[in-house]
Amino acid sequence: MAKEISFTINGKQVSISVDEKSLLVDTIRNDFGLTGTKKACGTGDCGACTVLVDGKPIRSCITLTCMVEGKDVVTIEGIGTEEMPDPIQEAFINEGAVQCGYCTPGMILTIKAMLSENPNPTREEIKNELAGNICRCTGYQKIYNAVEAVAGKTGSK
Amino acid sequence: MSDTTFYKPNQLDELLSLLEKYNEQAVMVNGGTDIVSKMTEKRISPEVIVYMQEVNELTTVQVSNNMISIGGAVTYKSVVKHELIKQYPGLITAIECVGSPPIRVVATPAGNLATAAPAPDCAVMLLALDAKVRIVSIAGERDVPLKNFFINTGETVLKSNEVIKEILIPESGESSYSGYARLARKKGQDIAKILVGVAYDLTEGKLTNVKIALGALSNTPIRANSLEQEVEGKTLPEAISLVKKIYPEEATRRLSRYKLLKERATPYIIARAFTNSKSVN
Repeated sequence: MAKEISFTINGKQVSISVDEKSLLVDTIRNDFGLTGTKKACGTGDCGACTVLVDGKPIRSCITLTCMVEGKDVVTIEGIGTEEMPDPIQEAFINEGAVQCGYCTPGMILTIKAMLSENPNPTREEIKNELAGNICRCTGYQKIYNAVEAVAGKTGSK
Repeated sequence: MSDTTFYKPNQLDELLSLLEKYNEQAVMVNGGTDIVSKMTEKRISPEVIVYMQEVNELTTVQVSNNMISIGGAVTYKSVVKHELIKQYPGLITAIECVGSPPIRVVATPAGNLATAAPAPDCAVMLLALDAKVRIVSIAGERDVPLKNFFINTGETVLKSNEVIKEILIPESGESSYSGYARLARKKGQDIAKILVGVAYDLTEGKLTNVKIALGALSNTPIRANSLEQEVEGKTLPEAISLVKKIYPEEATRRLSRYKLLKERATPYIIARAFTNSKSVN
């Protein structure tokens, strides 16, 4: 059946009619055309579908859209643009942390949530926090370097 | 459009009325990290989804009659840093093994118990801590110790109109220790092949009241009672040395590609749980 639910997506208040079994990742990609969020494993294991809900990292492929009613959803499109990238996006470019780019949106949003709680993580803490985001290209080291580069700028050392 | 209806009760009595009304037709969603993927794989197709993570009465961690109570909707992330949980170092270790940080934002200890998968980190540690669940329905409440809670893989004593209101763990004193160890392939998002939770008291340097819980070594989490009796009264170094030599009889020897791995490694993982054990985090 269909249910009308309201929430904000990238700062914009929306109201949408969804099938009550629909997944957040499908709503984001198909109803809102925001294809930065990827659907890869479909079981919540790889992290490519990660979005922020009320500032916290959520696996949108195992979240029902109805579960975000009244909440703030942020996708990769919502944190920066080509003209004004988020510092994390900039660090990824500078450090060479992007190859195919498929894991990147999920990585960046998970990092954003991590830095909001822990602005100056150790490399070990970074690895633990990103343990659920799989990358097949980079070997992870440049991703960790990018996080350290951002933390160095925003945190106090 | 499917025929599914989604409910999001904010009060416990609302939740219980829904369960009473829809009973077996209702699928409970807490964090959803196990159940939603089952829905997407089309293994189950619910008529009614009852989303319980926003039920007010289920969201606290508190002291309750010399026990620590973890509400049925409390997430791993909320539990693991809580002041009241520092007394259970083994539980903190076990929870930090589950999935990855984004999973722990929504997934719950109560959900882990109710799902009754064969390799559940939190459930195994709670079993070793001698925890019990307070189950509630429209008819009232009942307490079930975890050692009587699991029936089979995916099956517990929970009836379809019941929900776990809270998990109750006996308070852990200065001389009480807990530890957790597991054998998995990688740090995040991996289901372990061997899971061990241990808890004990140290009385004049000797282990007393020993509890050893095992996961992925039977169809449900189990206690290794025979092994507990062996280490009772030993010092910690003696216990660690002893458990390395014994494959607990309660652990099955099911034919699988991991049979040899489990037979050889289990004693060492049990020893590791003891080595990891601490009194407070």
